[in-house]
Amino acid sequence: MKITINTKVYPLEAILNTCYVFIDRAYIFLSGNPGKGKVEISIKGKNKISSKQKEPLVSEFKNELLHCALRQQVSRNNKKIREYIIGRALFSMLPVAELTAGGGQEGYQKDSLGIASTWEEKYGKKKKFVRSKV
Amino acid sequence: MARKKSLSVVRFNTKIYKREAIKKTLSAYSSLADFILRERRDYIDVEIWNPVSQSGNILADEFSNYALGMVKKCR
Repeated sequence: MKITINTKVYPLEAILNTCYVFIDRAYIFLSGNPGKGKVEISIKGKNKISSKQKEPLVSEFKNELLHCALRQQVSRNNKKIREYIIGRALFSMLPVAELTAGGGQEGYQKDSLGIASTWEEKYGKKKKFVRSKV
Repeated sequence: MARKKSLSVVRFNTKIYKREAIKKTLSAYSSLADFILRERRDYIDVEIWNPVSQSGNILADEFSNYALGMVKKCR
């Protein structure tokens, strides 16, 4: 049995995925020119089946084709958010030292943020108040 | 030497079936028959000669199914 598929409606990727699903049940051969928007699929049942039994197989194939095309479209639409989620997940797995700037190689003695200094060192010099004459 | 009889010819469109996939299929099936590969501009013809088993008719179909699987794998 032969089916002709328009590749402008169903992309070749979806057609190949569908064929792959049916490989265990039928012999499938593709011909035609996908560049011109036409692919012919010949489906031959592995076991000898009557013409009545062929119809459900072909219908199932068409349904699966629709499913694969939709799945591909959803996958394409969600590509950015999927990459973002995976990126975030991988980023959170990094050790803390690599997340901070400088990679934690400075050491605690350098104290670039000035945390170790005392209050007197920071604010010790009192301002001289000049009394104004009233 | 007796002339071998050609069993069947399978014509693969190179826009659907990649060359690499067909060559991998050939190497997988090389023990089951003799194959002759003829490359054209848009097609690759695979001639199947001298199948090992009697179920030669199935061989061409199985060959094209395997090639389809390889196409998906190579993508």
